[in-house]
Parts: sequence; structure tokens; C-alpha cells
Amino acid sequence: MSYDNLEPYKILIIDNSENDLNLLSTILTDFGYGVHSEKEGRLAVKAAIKTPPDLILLGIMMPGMDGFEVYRQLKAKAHIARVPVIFISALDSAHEISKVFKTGGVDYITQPFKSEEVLARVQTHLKIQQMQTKLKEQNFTLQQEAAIRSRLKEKQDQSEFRFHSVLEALPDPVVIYDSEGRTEYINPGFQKLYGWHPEELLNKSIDFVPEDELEPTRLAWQRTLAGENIFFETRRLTKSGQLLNIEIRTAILNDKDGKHTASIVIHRNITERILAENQLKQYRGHLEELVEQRTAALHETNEELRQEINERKQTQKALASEKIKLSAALKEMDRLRLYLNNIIDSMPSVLVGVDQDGCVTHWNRQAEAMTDITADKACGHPLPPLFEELKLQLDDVRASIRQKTSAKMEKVAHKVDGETRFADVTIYPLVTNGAVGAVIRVDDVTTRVRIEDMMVQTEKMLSVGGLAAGMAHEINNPLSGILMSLQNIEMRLSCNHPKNREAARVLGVDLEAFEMYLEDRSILKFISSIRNAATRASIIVNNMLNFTRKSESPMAPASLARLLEESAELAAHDYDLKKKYDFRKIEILREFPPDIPEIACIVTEIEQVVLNLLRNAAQAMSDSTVDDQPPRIVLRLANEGGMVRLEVEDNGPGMAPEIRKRVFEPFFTTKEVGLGTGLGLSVSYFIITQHHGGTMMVESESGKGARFIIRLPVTGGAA
Amino acid sequence: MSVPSIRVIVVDDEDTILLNLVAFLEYANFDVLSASSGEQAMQILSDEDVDVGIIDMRLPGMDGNTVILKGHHLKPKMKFLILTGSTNYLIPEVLKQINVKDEHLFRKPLPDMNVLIRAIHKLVPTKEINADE
Repeated sequence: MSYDNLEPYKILIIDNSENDLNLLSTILTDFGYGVHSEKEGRLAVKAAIKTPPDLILLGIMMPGMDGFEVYRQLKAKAHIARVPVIFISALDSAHEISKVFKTGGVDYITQPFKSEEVLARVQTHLKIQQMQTKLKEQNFTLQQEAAIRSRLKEKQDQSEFRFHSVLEALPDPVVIYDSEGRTEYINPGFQKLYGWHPEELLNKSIDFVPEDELEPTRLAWQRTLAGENIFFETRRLTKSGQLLNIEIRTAILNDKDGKHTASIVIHRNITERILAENQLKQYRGHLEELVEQRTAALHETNEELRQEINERKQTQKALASEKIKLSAALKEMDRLRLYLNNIIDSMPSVLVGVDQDGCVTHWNRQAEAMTDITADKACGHPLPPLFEELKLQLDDVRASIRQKTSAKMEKVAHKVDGETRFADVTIYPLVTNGAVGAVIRVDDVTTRVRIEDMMVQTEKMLSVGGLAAGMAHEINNPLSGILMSLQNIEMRLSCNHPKNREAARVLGVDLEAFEMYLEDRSILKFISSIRNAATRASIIVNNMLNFTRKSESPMAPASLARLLEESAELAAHDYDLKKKYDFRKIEILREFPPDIPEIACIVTEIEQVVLNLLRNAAQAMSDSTVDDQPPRIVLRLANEGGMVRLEVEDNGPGMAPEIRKRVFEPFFTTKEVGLGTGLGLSVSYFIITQHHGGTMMVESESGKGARFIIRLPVTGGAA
Repeated sequence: MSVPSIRVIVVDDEDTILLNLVAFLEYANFDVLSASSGEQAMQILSDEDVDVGIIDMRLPGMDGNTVILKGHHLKPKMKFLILTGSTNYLIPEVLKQINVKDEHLFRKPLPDMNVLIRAIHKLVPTKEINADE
């Protein structure tokens, strides 16, 4: 690479590293410097001799001739000795840096190179170099001038003969005064500098002295007249009014006898020199400032170095303590893993981790409990068949993982030991990086689902009950009217009452004949049938109201076993040909454990409920039984701690779900018209739930019998 | 019939019931007045002496309880029977204090109105004796 001649500054870079050369070269070229780079010391010295650069960047570590040797050889050449050299150091060692400065290097830069730093350092040293050169040039000029002047004086002294012509030729103004102080001669140089014509000044007081120079001038003049040679600096005005710095020399001219004959005054315009000196002073000051700045910068760099060393020491210390912390963290991690496993195992939910292929990766204790498969056997295998029954398709799991969204299936019905249970199944995809898979959570919500069903049922029953009560009240008034009217009609048809006889007499009616007519036409029977119908309506309404009306009978402790026996006995007598069943043909099994506490209840009401259930069962079994077995009712009691469970189970035809859901509703009946009012079960329901604070439900499926389950609180409930 | 008969007022907003009760009681020789609201009843009571009131509870305007209370203030000797279609009506304490008891409460529908006659005679025994004489 060679310099472009148009570039203002030429920089030579010497380093054996291609990368460093390229990097530095790019930084400097981009900034506009001319750059020449060399990889070898020997070639670099040659290049520098051939085209002396303005600045050299010199690598220290180089094979063969190292940086310091290159530096010595360069400095040996006079015309490149003054070129500033900045060393490039790969090491940031204090020793090397001190060696750089001892050797004479003006600066150094270290890797990694920062372009701002490199440029700042290069610019600074180029500027320093430039100023030094300028100073040298000026000094040289001054010295030359001084030499010329001294030579001239010698010549003057040597040749008095040439005196006058010399004065005439001298560019400096010269004035000669006689011993009396009168102006004798003014040379052309005077006129040339000041613009005054000699005639204008001859024998005249001189007014080209500025006011503040008058006094020094007067003193100098006195001393001159007294025979002294004076040299002083002062200022004078030109004719055009320009103020000049002037150096004035005076000398006494003696004749051959040594008598003072005249004084010669030589002016020299030193305005330019003063200016140059001032400038020089300024440059010097600036230079000193730069040196100071540079020193401060170096100082700062040293301070930074020291700090960096300190920081490294601290980093090492910190590293050591980090190691200790790391081992503590590893222990903590183990502990945490155990803790997490513990948490997962303790969760009431079944939690199963699967990878993206659906293979089990985690299997918590609940999963073991639900499936009877241990974690050892489950992990690494596909999900067991139970999960298929939970309608958990592997595709769902995969879709959930892919879409990173959880999926939830609620109230999934499944069979456990023949019992229908419900589960919420949720798939949570793992979203952490690096772990692709999902967690499947299964919660048994059977109890919740049953409670929800029960609550819906209760709500429904309460609203229907309220409706029934309102309706009953509205029906009672017209029913009252019918019954009262019937009574009045019957009374007024009677032949015995004096009022009737009186009315018949007035109207001329034969009461006996009228009575025969009524008999003949069965009028009274029709009236009686109206009364019967109205009475039956009244009884239905009354029943309907009964289950909403609070019984006033007190609660008393009673044995449910005895109560069941008595109810069964009552049912046995309830043989009715019309109702098509014979209770004596039904086998009644009793499962009464000994630990059943007495419960507080209204015995007649509970008896009514049980009797109703027995009748319903008997009636249902008269239609058909499971597998045509003999009809059988199981009466079952169980202590549930604070509650007693009472079950009435039959092996009749059972119920379809849509019927099962409605059996407790008032007026809902599956019986043929005339066989029931459809109020029995709803009345029972109210007796159990409202009067006794218990619950009543039914489990049944089509063709598989029915089981009514009543739970009663031992204390009789809040109701 | 020189003996003064027992005077009864029937208060009910249901026309059929009013008609039948009045017919029945007159047939049984009572002196019967009727009102289809509490306000109308009060007007009658301010002019007339009545022995027994048969009062429906659910009335337009003034309710049955108030009719009995105001009637009692107007005629402190007057007795009352309650005949209501409401299933959950209970006699309030204020009425119990003026001697209205459970035995004076009858619910609709009433299969036999003779129970009312027996109750009236029980409430006004002297007149019954007088009537028999």
C-alpha cells in the first residue's frame, strides 16, 4: 500500500499482524490519512527512508527485528529521527509501557483498538509535530536575520567611506543629529518607513512620537546627547497614523580627535518580529498546555490501569466465592427437586406428565392410586387404557402441545367398579423451552357433580312448590263456592224444613210429588256426585299444600329400623286388587347394621315417605322385574356419622334418565290415570328436605331397578 | 218470632261465597248483613249493632285482621269468626289478645257450613237460650 500524494499526512504502520494492519489502516484511511503499511521491520525502515512519513505506528512484538530495534534504526536516520512514533502493544503491561516511553516513543496504543482512541492519539501527535516544525523554522529565520545585521555593522565600522552610501541604501531609517541636537541628515529609509519627507522633519520638533512614548524618548535623547549609546524599544507613528514597534539605537559619532561631533539614530521596524515573538510565545504556551494535557492523560491511563488490575483481583475473588455458591445452589436444586416432587405427589389431582409422543414421563401418587399402576411401570409407556375411557385422545394432547393452549373436558363420565363417576380432564402443554410435552390433570368431581344436580333439583322443587301453594289458594275460593252452593241446594230441596214447606205452599207446589220427582230423576245422586268430585279436588289441593306447610307435630327421637318394620307391615296390608299388586308376594330384605343411632324426626311423616316408596316399588315391580326374578325390595340403613342413610331398593324396571330427573316434580306420574296423583314423591321430597333438613335422591337406569337414597341428620336438621 | 235473633255480618269479596253464606245463615234464622270489603263493613258497623262477624282475610283494601281490630274498637262486645282460603294463615298476637282463638279459624273450602252455626252459638250463648225459650 502506498501513500496518495494528495493526502495531507502520511502514516506508516508497521506490524506483523495482518488483522491489526487492516483494522488500523481502515480506521486511518477512513479519516482521510494516507497510510502505508509494512509487515516486516527491515522493509519498513527502507520504506521510511524512501518516503519519510509524518507519523509511525510501530508494533512491538514482531518476529526477527522487534519494534524497539526498528525504532533504533529509524532514529539513526537524520531526516526521519524527528517523526513521532506511536507503539502498538499487544500486552497491557506496565513494564512494556515504561519501556516504550524510555525508548523515546511518544505514545502507545493497545489492543483491542478503538477507532476514537487511535484517531485521537494520532491527531494529537501530528499536531505536536507540526507545531514543533513551525517553531524550528521561525527560530532559523531569526538567527539568519541576526547574522546579517552583525555582518552589516562590521562593514560600517570598516568603511567610513561607504558610510554615506550605506546610509542611503539602508532600508532602516537613520537620522543624524549634530552636537547641538539639530537634525543633520535623514536617510531615504526613514521616509520609506514613516512616510515623512525629510524636509517635513528637518529642524522641526518631531511629532511622530506617541504620547506615552514621549517621556522615555526624552530620557533616551538626553542620555544620547550626554554621549551615551542607547538601545531601546519604543513605538512610532507613521504619517498615515500606523503604530509601529521600533527598535532604536543611538550612537555618538566622534571625529578623529575623539570629539563628539554628531549622534546617529537608527530605527528598526520590529513590528513583525514582535508579532512573531508573541505568536511564538503563544505557541510555546499552547505546546506546554498540550504536554501538560498529555501528561495528565498518561496519568489517567496509569490510574485506569491500576484500577483494572484491582478489578481483576476482585473478579478472581468473586469467582472463588461463586464456586462455593454454585455448589450450594446445586444442593438447593436437589432439595427443590425433592420438594417439587413432594408437592406434585401431594396434590389431590391426578397429574401425569407426557412427552410429545404421549409417553408417560411423570406419574404422581394420585395417578398410582387411581389406576393401580405404579410410577415405575407407567413411565416410558403410552398412556394406559383408563385414559381412553376418559375420552383423552392422544391427538388432543398433541394438538394442545402444538398450539400451546390448554384443553379442558368437564364432567367426563366413566365407570369405576361399576359405579358411574365424573372427572374433569385438563391438558396443560409445557411451554418452557427445551421441554416439549404436556401435563394431564384428572380431578374426580363426582361429589361436586352430584351436589350440583341436587342443588338444581332443590331449586326446581322450591319454585314448583311455591307455584303449587299459590295455585292451591286460588283454587280454594271457587271450590268453596261449589261446596257451599251444593249444601244450600240440598238444604232447600229438603221437604222437612218449615221454610221450604212455606215456600212450596205459597207457590202451590206439592212437595211430596216434587220429592218423588227428585227421586225418580236421581237429582240428589247427581248433586252428590258433584259434591264427591269437589271434595276430591279439595283433598288434592290440600295434599298439595301439605308438603309446603310446616307440620306442627314435634320431632322425637326414633329408631329408623323399627320405623321401617312398621312401614313394611303397613304396606303388607295395603293389598288392592285395583292397584294390581300383592305386597305379600314381595320379598323384603333388611340390611340394618347395629350401629344406627336414633334420629330426631316426625315419625308419621317419615312413615308416610317410606310407605310411599314401598308402594311405588311394589307397583313398579308388578310390571316387570330385572331378569324376571321374583320381586324383591331391599331396605338398607347405614351410619354416615351425623347422618343416617336410608335406602329403598327394588329390582323393578327402573327409569330412563329423563324420567329419573323428573320423579320428584309435583303431578309427575308414570302411572295410569287413576292410579296416583303424582304427588307422593314430591310430598316425600319436601318432607325429607324441608321438614327434616335431609336429602333425597334416586339412582336408577332403565331395566336395572331403582334405589331411593334418603339421608337424614341425626339431630333432625335445622328445619 | 218476638225473640230478637242473632245478628251476623259476613265480609267476603267473593260474590259466590257471600251469596251462599247469607242464604245459609238466613235459612238458619240468623239476621244477616253482608259487605264485600272492610270499608263497607265499617260503614255498616257505625250504624248497626252486630253480634258476630264472619271475616275473610284476603280482602281488597283493608285486610281481615284490620277489619276485626277496628270492629272490636267500634263494638267491644262483638265476636269474630275467620274464614280464609289462605293455607298458611296464623292468628296474629293482637287478635289473640281480643280473644280470637284457633277454634274461631275456619279454612276454605268448608265442606259443611253447620260448623259455623255451632261456632256462632258458642260465641253468643245467651241469645241462643233466649231463642229457645
